[in-house]
Parts: sequence; structure tokens; C-alpha cells
Amino acid sequence: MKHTILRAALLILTVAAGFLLQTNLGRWIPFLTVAPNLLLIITFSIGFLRGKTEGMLTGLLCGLLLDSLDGGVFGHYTLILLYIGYLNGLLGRVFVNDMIFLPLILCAAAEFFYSLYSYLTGAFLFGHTNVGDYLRTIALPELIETLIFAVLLYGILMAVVRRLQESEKEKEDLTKFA
Amino acid sequence: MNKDNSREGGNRRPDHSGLPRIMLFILTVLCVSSMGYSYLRRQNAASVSRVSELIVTPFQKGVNQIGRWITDRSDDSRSLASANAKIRSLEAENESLSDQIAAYDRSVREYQDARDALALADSYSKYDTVGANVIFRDAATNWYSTFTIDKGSADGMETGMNVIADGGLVGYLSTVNEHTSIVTTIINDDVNVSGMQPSTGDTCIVEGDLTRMKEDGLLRISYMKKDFSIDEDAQIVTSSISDRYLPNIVIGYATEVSENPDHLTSSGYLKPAVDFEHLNIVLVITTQKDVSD
Repeated sequence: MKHTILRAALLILTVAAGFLLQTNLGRWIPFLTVAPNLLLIITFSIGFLRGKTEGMLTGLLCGLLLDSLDGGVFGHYTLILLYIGYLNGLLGRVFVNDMIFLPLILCAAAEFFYSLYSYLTGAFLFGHTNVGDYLRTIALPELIETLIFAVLLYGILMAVVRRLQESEKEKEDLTKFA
Repeated sequence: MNKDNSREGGNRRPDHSGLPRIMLFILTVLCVSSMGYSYLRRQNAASVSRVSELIVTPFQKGVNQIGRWITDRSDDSRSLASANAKIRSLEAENESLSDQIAAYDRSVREYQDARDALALADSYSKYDTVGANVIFRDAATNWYSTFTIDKGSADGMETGMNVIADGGLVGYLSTVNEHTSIVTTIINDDVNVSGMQPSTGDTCIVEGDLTRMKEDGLLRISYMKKDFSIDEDAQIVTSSISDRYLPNIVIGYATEVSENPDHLTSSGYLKPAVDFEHLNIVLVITTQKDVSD
């Protein structure tokens, strides 16, 4: 119980920090023309490391935050992040999560689908069919930046999740012997 | 029956199979219906926005202060460095020359200040404006160009109000919460502004184009008559026929205008008057265009 609360609190803090960073990096680092998709990295990492339920809930949290502050159609981001969290939770069970290489590929795939979804529900609907331009100026830079930040963020999240799991296990062993 | 599906080192609670799937299904249905609702009603669940606003805004203000502090520091160090360099170079020059340069600089600056003041007073003095700070940009994605300001309905903001900065059009308030508002900029793909060349009265449409903007800082303009000329005056202002924007706000300066293959119309590009990359403070015009339909 104590761990669940701790985990939830840590998650909310991480998501809030990720959001603030994501929306301000562009102003602090002027040469970044696009911002890395930090909330996607968080959703993906928690899903991959902790399973589909927690992935889904993280996606829900990130999505609600984005939807409520973006002012667009409500539920738009929640929907895609929900599925990114859930699907990566399923994949996390199939693959061994020790390597960094595989998570990066999965993160790239998630980012690709996110961009595709954004394009299809946005620019494409307004009649901008020049996919190449969007790929070159938005999708690709965003993908590269997201991957760079994913190495860092996934590493940190993995370390925290491991640490929590260990302390939880210790606790359980103690109660077992008592 | 509930097998622990823990991975090495981990001990996860047993998965009650089916529960996550049901949750996902319910949440999906909720999302889709909420999207449908907000699409049809053009408004979202205000209570959720208010909660997020309450959580994020105080953090954001702190972050903003840190950000501003960093920018100030880097500006300080940069101006110090350039000042030193200037001193060195000026020392090498003779005294009378540097006097002349100083006098020249001063008069240029005075001229520019006077011109800016005149232009601003001329075009916007009849509108009431309220200043606001930009608290974050492109909240959700790089696929839209929006930003959030720190004034909301409590400060008298209303949906549809025009937003300007540096004497040029920025966009309009698309969503107004209690203490924050979202500005949709004219860069957005789905935003069109009806424009006009003030000297000739020739009209055009300024189309938002996110990719072009990111690449070379230009927007598209089209639907001009074929002899539309920018030789004398390239300035484009909002036209009086627009139902969203007040008339005579500078949008930007036209470039590369050429006749279309159909020989009936021309099109070109527009360099916005506003530097969208470095927006920190904007002015919201509280005078709303009166459209009675």
C-alpha cells in the first residue's frame, strides 16, 4: 500500500516535471525548433517497465494533462497515449528489458505512430497533403530529439523502478519470515 | 490461477486477467465520446481544465522565473563581452570619429523610437489592450502553434479576442480558462486571415503554414488579383472584412509574389511582423470586433 502511494506520487511528479520541461525547452534552448516528446517517453517507459495496467494509467494521466491544457478536442491525446502505454506494457512482457537498444526501437515506433496520428487528425484534415514537408520539418526532428531524451529518461526511470521493486521485495521477504 | 507474471528481480501484483482490457475499453469509449462531445459543443470538460490549471500554473510560474533568470544571465554575459570588445575597438579609433559615431547612433535610435511610437500610436491607440505573459508554448505537440498566457476569464479575457505583440498580429484567444488562456497563432494550418494592402486596398488571404514557418519563417498568401504589386508597399494588414480580426493590424510583409499559372490570381509569401520564436509578453486587445449576424 505504502509503495503504491509512493509510486503514484513519484509518477505524478515525473509527469509534471516532464510537461514543464517539454513546454519550456524551446524557449530555453533557442535552436530547438521542435520539442522532444517527453510525456510519450514517460508513458512508454512505465508501460514497458511496469506492465499494461500502469502503462495505461500513465498514458491516461499524461493525456488528460495535455488535453486539458491544449484546448483542442478533449480526449484526443488521452486516446493515443492510453494505447501507447497499454501496448508497450504487453510488449514489455514479451521482451527482456535489460537492453537499451530494443526499448529505443519501440520508443521510435511509438513516436512514429504518435506523429502519424497527429498528422492525420491535424494538418491532413485541413487539406495539407505535403507529407514530405511535415516529415522533414516536424516529425523527423521530433523523433531524433525524443530518442536522445529517451536514452536519458528511460535510464533514470528504469533505475527508479528497479530500486522500488527491490525495496518492495525486501519488505515482502521480511513479512514472510516474521 | 493468477500466475505471478513477474520479470527477473521484479515482483508485480498478479494480473487479474481481463481487468486491464476492460479498463482500456471503458477509457477508449470515454475518450471517443468526450472527443465527440467537445467537437460538437466546441468546449471541453471545464472542471478537468481547472484542476490541471491549478496544479500546473504555480509550478509554471516558478519555472518561468528560472527561465527568465537564465536568459537574463546569458544576456548579461553576452552584453558584457560585446561591450568589452567595443571598448577595445573604439580605443583604437581616434576621438573625433568615435564622437561622430556616437552622435550618429543616438540620432538613429531616436529616429527609430519616434517612428515606432508613431506607428504604434497610429494604428492601435483606439483599442484597449491588456498585457499578458506567455507561460508555455505548444502544450501538447509540435503539430500546432499555440501558447498559453497567464490571464483568463477572471482578468476579463473572452474567447475570440485578438492578440498582438511587437506591433503585429499574433493570433486570437481560442480557449479561455479561469486564470489562463490559449492563444492560437496565425501560423496554424487551420487558421486563415483575411488581409489587405493598406495603400491600394487590394485583398489577400494569409494562410497558416506550419512547415513553411518552421523552415524559413514565412507564411503563404494567396487569392490576390494578378496585378498585385509589392513594389511600393509590401505591408499587409488585417482587412475590414475579416469576421475575427480587427481591421488595420499589421500582419507582415509580402515577398516573392508571382502570378499563378491560371493568369487570374497571384500568390506569394509573407514574413510576419512578429517574431514568434521569442514571444514572452503579448498584448490582448479587449475591444472585440462587433459581428452581429
